[in-house]
Amino acid sequence: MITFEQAGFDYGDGQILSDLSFELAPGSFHFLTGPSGSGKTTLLKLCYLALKPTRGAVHVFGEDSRTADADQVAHLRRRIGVVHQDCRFLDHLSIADNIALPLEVSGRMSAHNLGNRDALLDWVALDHRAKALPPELSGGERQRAALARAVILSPDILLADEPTGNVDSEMGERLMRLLIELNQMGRTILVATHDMALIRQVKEDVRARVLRLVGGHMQVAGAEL
Amino acid sequence: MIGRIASELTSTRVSDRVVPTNNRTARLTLVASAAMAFLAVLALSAALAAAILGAGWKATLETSTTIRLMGEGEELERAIAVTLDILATVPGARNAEHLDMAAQADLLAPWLGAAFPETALPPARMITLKDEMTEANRAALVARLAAEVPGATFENHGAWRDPLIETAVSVRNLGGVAVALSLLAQSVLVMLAASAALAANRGVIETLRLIGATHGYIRKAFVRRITLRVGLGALIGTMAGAALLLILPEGSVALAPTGWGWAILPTIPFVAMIASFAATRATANHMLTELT
Repeated sequence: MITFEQAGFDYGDGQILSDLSFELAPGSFHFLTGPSGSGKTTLLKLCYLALKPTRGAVHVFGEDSRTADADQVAHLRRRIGVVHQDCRFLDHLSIADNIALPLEVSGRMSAHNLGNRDALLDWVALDHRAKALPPELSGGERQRAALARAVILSPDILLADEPTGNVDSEMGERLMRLLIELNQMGRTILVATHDMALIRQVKEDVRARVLRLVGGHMQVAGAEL
Repeated sequence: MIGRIASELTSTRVSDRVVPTNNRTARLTLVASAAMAFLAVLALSAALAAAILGAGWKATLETSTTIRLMGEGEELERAIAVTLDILATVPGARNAEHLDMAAQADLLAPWLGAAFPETALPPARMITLKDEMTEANRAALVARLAAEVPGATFENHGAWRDPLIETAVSVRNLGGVAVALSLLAQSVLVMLAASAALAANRGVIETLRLIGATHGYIRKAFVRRITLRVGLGALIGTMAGAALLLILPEGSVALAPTGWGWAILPTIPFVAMIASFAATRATANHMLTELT
């Protein structure tokens, strides 16, 4: 689904990632680990085409990200759900509208899909907060809402950037359970985290692999957990 | 073109709300657009008044001509009669009118005072006429007067009329320049407001891109919102300007447009919307390209 071929990236003032080669196979579950500043977020950005590799290539659903135009990128992103560390909501829209936004921008707004949106609100236990604005939500609620928005288009891949970074351990585990549920439904999952305790907590419940980044290099590429 | 504008201005329920409605730049865009439309109404009205005034001066002055007759008693009365007879035969010499002593005294009263005795005036008379003659007819008239009316002087007042006509034309042209500058300033301000609104919503644009919105969707949402906001502001400003013109005291109505002049005012919000549409579209395209 996503293939890195000796991919590297630098912002022009020094190399962030270099010589990355790995593949996210359909239905797989990967943890992307590494210390802060090791390039985890940059790697995720390469996955959802927010960045293009400065060396090597990244193929997303068979498309070379370096040559994809703006419209192709938009359509590819509809197949990739992303849970951003800072959630990235539109603060003037309710949580329910934020979750429905991918339906709107992809032209799939319908009564049936809005029913799915309500089911998702229920799934992430936010049905009672549907009309709240994002700033009114707690960190854990925001992360769960971001997860609901990320999966509303039934994406093939779900990327999560430190989804448990701003929540307590109980909420972190709850979020991980939701991600494992999605994986069991056949979704490909890539979770960036530096929280090794969290990984240990869920390792019995999911067959996951680890990608470990250190200093922009892939130290471990796909070892079983 | 109209189809494309209409398509970019239509919306769905959510797309209509994607762009925040109640932030500072939104209010500024509305106020700036209203203020510029208000000023455009005043500039347009002033320009129309100047154009009408200039055209009136020009039309009056261009044809204003007099024939001065010197003499006394019967000799002068005969000269007047002969001159009027000659003028009646010349094509283009219209509205020939003899000013008697009383009329001449009235004419000079602003300079000499109303109490100035008529008998103190020089023994001269004037015949006024509207000169719509061809060059040939005018030359023939001057020749006939020289031959048949000794002491008659044909005077077209060129020495002071030509600068005045030039002034009238300048006043009219300046009015046009004022309107053009006002519309240009309005367009520039609308462009700046559109750019500021887009810049203020950069975060919204980035989020929309991340969840799979195409550039067309994002551009449409912003173009629609900003264009309609500018249109609403311009409509408010135009109505306020028109209301001010309507309530001007009777004596100062020279500024208020007349007839078809009023019909021009409703074009101001449309001009503002077209400028906003083009500016927002170009700015949005530029910003989206930058983000890619």
